Amino acid sequence: MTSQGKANPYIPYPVTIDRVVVENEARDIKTFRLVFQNPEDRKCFDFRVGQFAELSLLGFGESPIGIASSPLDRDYVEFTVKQYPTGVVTTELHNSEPGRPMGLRGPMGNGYPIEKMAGKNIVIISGGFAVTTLRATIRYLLHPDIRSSVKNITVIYGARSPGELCYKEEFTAWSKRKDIAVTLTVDNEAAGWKGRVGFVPAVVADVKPAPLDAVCLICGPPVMLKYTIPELTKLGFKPGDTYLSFEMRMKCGIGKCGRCNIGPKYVCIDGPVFSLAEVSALPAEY
Amino acid sequence: MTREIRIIPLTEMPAFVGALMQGRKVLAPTRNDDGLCVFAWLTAPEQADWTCEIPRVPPKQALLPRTEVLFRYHREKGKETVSPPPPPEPQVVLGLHPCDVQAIKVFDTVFSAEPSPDQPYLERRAMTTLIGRGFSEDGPSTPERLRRPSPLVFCRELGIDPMDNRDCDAFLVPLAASRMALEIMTDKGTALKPAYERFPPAVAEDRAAIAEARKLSQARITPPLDMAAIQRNLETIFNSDLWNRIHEPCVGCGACAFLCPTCHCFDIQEETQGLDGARVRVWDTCQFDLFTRHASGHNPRTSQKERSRQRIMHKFSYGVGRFHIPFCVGCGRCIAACPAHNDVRQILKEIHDLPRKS
Repeated sequence: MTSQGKANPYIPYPVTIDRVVVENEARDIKTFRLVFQNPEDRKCFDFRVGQFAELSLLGFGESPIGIASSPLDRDYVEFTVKQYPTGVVTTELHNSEPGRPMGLRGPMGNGYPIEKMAGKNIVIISGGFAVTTLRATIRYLLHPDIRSSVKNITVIYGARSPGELCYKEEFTAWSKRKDIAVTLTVDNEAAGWKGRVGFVPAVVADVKPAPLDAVCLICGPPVMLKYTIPELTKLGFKPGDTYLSFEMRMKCGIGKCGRCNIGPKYVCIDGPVFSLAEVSALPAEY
Repeated sequence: MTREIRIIPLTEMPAFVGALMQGRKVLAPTRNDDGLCVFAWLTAPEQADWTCEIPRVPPKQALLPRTEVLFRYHREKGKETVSPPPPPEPQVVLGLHPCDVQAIKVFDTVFSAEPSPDQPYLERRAMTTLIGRGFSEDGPSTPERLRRPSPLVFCRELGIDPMDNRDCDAFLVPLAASRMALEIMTDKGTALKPAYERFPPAVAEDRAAIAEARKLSQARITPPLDMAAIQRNLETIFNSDLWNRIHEPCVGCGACAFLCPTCHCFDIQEETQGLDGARVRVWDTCQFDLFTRHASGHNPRTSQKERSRQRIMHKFSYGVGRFHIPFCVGCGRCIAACPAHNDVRQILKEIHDLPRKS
């Protein structure tokens, strides 16, 4: 997976920023499209949906970010990054223009359980900008070569306001398709918004995705998880079939530096994706 | 298996150490300016000190330098070049107490683990020769001060024998009449031949003395700590009130971790000057607030309670669960250094003696 043979695992692949898209009205979430300077490196960077990578800016540091593009987007890799005032790397990244060289280390982590998802109904629930690796998953599952490998795809995605919904054009296009059921929601009424209004847990309770033969992927802020998971349990989703993706402060990304553990599990190599059954066996230190 | 044994008079040790220093860096116990015994890189053979059992500073810097360049870089507008560091030089770690050797086994286990072995570590390790040193309070030649081992060392309670030469390339055993026996165990040990070949081989009497010292030392091993019970109990007490008490005196200085021979957690930082720079890894510790604080401000370990718990859990539960090896070797350095007099032996005893939940 991430074993790079005898190579120094701390030296990043050289990449170049190809495109920058501002995702939200607050302008603190941007998607960076990166292309490999050596095309053969893209082949080595063999990832699956739900994995992450360390974005490396020489002179500033590294930041672990989920991969937002599909493995089948073969010419580039995308990352959607929120800028925090305290974030040295994210701030410098947000100040970067296309053409800037930078580094990429990975892919890292386990990713979503693609094998287990085969032949199943897929339910995807997300809130805010945590949607990144799930956007990668939707892009992947909707690929003509992949779509027939799963049954129904149900997506519920919410944000505070219409201006905070990421990948808006893509989601709008998906919501018009017949082979995927997309529900978009915002927290409060907003001028021009014709979609649903309400928090994600309430919308889940209302949409009632069917738990039968389903795998559920969920990624969002802690408060969304806290209230959505009971709704899923009520609907009958099993803890072993419900998957969450975690975030932790990380440095090495390869299970050595010792800071991202939740109990005995390292988020960087055992995660970031855990089933709800696995999570319930872990101490609540996250 | 011991391949050969040479006998070195203590007066000749500087000559032996000097020969080791030919073409190699040598890390050994030595006295610093404050008179404290610490592991440090020798600049002269006489600096090696044989009067100290557990040097206050452990030898881990030989394999995980306090600051280690992972790679260097040069930045220009629109162009960046990265160059790996020069390959590590041959080095000897000399005078290791067997518990420090066990600590290096912990490092080896963690840094060689899949899915991503730590190549910089493994390259450095491959260039490293370990010369251990036995400590036997019963030995006929044991100097008076080492007949009373440090009251803080509890490696025997963890099943570590201070005369164990396994996992070393060579091993020193003190003998009567101010002499040291040098046991050679591996190819790396044999490669030191130019440094030891001028010393005479051990005679039958020496071999018998070494065997006797080993026997006496082994007889002292009666591990009273049931590590399996400790691990089992730890799995059930994550939310126990015990941690409130354990963390209370802790000032969060991190001395326990920096002086621990098994603590290996690190940070990765940038060091830049103008357009040039290096990405370096530096020692870090779970005892610091920043260790786990996200850029968003969220911190899964907000207080010293969570951080003290993490230290004990990592050493005696998580490490054992994943690697089947405790991340503690009983060297007692953390007990000696703690400004708040926290004693890991006491903590282990409490955890061990917790009433079994029915």
